Amino acid sequence: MTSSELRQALSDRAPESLTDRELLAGLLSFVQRGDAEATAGRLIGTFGSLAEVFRQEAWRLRAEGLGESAATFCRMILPAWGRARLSEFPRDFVFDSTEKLGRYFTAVFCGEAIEKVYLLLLREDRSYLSLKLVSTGSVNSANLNTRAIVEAALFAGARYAALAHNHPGGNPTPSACDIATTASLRSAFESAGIGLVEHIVTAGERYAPILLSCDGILREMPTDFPMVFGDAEDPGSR
Amino acid sequence: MALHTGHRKRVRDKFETGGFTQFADHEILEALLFAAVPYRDTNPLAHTLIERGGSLAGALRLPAEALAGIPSAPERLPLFFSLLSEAGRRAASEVQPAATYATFSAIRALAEQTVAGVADDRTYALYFDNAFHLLATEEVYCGYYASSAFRVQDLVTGALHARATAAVLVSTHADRIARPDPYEVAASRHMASVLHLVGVTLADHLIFAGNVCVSVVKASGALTDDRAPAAKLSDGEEGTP
Repeated sequence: MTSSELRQALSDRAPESLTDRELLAGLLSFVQRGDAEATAGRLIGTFGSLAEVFRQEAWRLRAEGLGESAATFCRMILPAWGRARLSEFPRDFVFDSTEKLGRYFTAVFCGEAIEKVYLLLLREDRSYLSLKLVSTGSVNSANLNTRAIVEAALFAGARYAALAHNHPGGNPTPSACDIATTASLRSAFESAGIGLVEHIVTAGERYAPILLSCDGILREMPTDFPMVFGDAEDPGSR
Repeated sequence: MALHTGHRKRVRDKFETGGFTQFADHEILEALLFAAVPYRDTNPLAHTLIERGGSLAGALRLPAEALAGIPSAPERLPLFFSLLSEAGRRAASEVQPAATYATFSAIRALAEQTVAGVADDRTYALYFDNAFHLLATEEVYCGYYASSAFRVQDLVTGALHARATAAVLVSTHADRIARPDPYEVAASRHMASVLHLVGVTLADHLIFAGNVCVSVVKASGALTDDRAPAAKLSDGEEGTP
C-alpha cells in the first residue's frame, strides 16, 4: 500500500480502533518513504510496544531503518503529548484544591518512566508562579537538598509551595519515607515563611495527597523525624 | 529552501539535546508540523492553530471543519493530529518504569545488548540515576577510544542532560583483543575524574572483544579514588543488595 492509500484507509477508522502497528504506520507514512507498515511492524516487534518505540534513543531507531527526521519525530511524540496536557492549565491557574493539584501533577508526570521530584511555587493567592524540577531519582533524604529547595522558593518570591513525585508503574500510596520527608520539608519551609500546601504522589493517572491539607483534614505527621538532612556532600552534618 | 531545511535540522538538534524544555508551546507545534507540512516554514501555521484552539492541546483537538478553514493547513492535517493524539495518549498510558540495573551482571547484559552487531571500534555511555535506573544510552565515540579526538565534553553534557548520577562506558575492540591498553585505562581514569567533578560516578568501563567482556575496574582497579556512596555496584544477582 502506498503512503496515501494507507492514510486514506486510516482516515475512515476511529483512531482508538487502530492497532499499535496501524497507528505507528500511519504516523510513519508522514515522515518517511517506503513501506510504513513493514517498518512499524519491525519497530514494535523489536521494542515491544508503542511506548517503548517512542522512548528509544535516536541511534537505536536509526539502526532499525528510520531516517534522522523520522527518528526524532517518534521521540517528540511523548514529550509533546505531556506538554499538550500541561497546556490545558492557563498561566494564572489557581491551585486551591487537592483535585487541582492532582490533575496538574498527573499532567506534569505524563509519560515519565523515571522517578522525579518537582516543586510548584505559588503566589499569595495560590496562583501559579513557577515549576521546578528538584531531583531525578527516588524521594529519600539523601537525594533532596533541603536548603536548595527552600532557597528556590524563597528567591522566587513564593508564598506557598507544593511538592510532587511519581511512582512510575506503581501505585500512588505514599511510603513512610515520603511522609517523613514531607514533614521535615514542611518545617523547613515554615521556618522561611513559606507554606507547603501539599505533597502529591502520582502513578499514571492516579494520585494521592500526603498532607491532605487542602481538604482541611491534615494527616497526622511524625513530629520527631530523624534529622538526616544536610548537604548530600557533607555527611558530617547528619 | 536550503535556508529553511537548515532551520528544521537546528530545531531537531535542539530537541535532541535538551528535549522541549526550552521550547514554547507554539515551537513544539511548529516542530511536530514538520512531519505534516513538507518544506515550508510551519511557524505561522503553528501560531494560527494555537490561536484558534486556545492552547497546544486545543490546537490538536481542532475539528476537521475548523482546520479546513485555515488556508495554510494541508488537507492531511486532521488525520495527522488525530493519529498523533491517539499515539500520545496510548503511549503515555503504557509507560513502564525504567528498568533497573543494580548488579554487575545486569549491566554487563545491558552492555552486551547495546554493542550487539557492532563490528568496529565504538564507545557507548550508559547513564543511570542513583537507583541504577537506565536513563539513556548514547554512542559517544566512533574510533579508538583513547585518541585525542574523543571529546570529554560530549560525555559530560550527555550525562548532565540525562540527569545521571552514574555512568558506565562500553567499548568494542574490533581487533578482538579484550585487554584494554594502558592509554585506554588512563583515558577511563581521566573520564572518571572529570565526571566526578560534576557529580557523576563512572562506575566501570566494559570492553567487548568478540564474545569476551573485560571490566577495566576488575582488571586494573578502581577508576577513581573518590566514589560517591550511592553509585556502588553489587556483584550479587538481582534482588540482593
